[in-house]
Amino acid sequence: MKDGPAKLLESSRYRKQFAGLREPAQVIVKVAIQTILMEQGMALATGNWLKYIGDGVWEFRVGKSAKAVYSKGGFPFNTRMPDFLLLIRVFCAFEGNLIVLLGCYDKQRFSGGKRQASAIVSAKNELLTFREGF
Amino acid sequence: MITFMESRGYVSFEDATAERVKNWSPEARELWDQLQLEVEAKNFRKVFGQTICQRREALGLSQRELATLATVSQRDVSHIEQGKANPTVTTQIKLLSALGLKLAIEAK
Repeated sequence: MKDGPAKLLESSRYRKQFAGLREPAQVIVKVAIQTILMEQGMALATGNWLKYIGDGVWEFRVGKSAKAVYSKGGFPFNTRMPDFLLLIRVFCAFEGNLIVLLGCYDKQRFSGGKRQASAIVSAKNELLTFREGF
Repeated sequence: MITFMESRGYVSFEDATAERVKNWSPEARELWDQLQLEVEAKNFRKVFGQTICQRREALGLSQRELATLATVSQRDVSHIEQGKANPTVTTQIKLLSALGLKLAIEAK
């Protein structure tokens, strides 16, 4: 990724899949993207939060709990903040200063390999569509 | 480029979030608002720390020297400069005074 603040775009496919997540998980994923992915970008790849899955697509791993997101996002946990388990996979691509969100799914609800494989293929297709736009 | 991409179904994170928040339940919106306050507080700590660090360096002071002038610990100075600490108002004023700075409040 180039220097400078990252801009982030959400594809319509991502927004549709995101709308299917449980509401509290939606809130935490938004916060994770805002305070972790947009701020740290590809530097996250040195740890467990970001994994390259091929063909330009990366997997941003939100979990294993809301508390882990608060901690990684850099704000202290307090008892007024809800904590719960979540395991959301957000597929994204880094295109210059743009981060493009391609798709997502709830790994906790759909833990099977088939669902994961299908979500990855769908994200890779979305990136191809995005790149055709240029 | 963003406008062109928007015509293809891509929306900025900010616009998508504003739209999504409208559809959330009151409980989810309350949680979002609460977490946004935490994000703002984090950003404040970051800017405060960077300002202290830049001013200290401009004055040619080490962290230890600033700590002595402000009567705080060097560890506190280090953590505050990195935006990791949540200093009390008293500590903030001590550091600002030692650096010849003052805090100003303005409307958003």
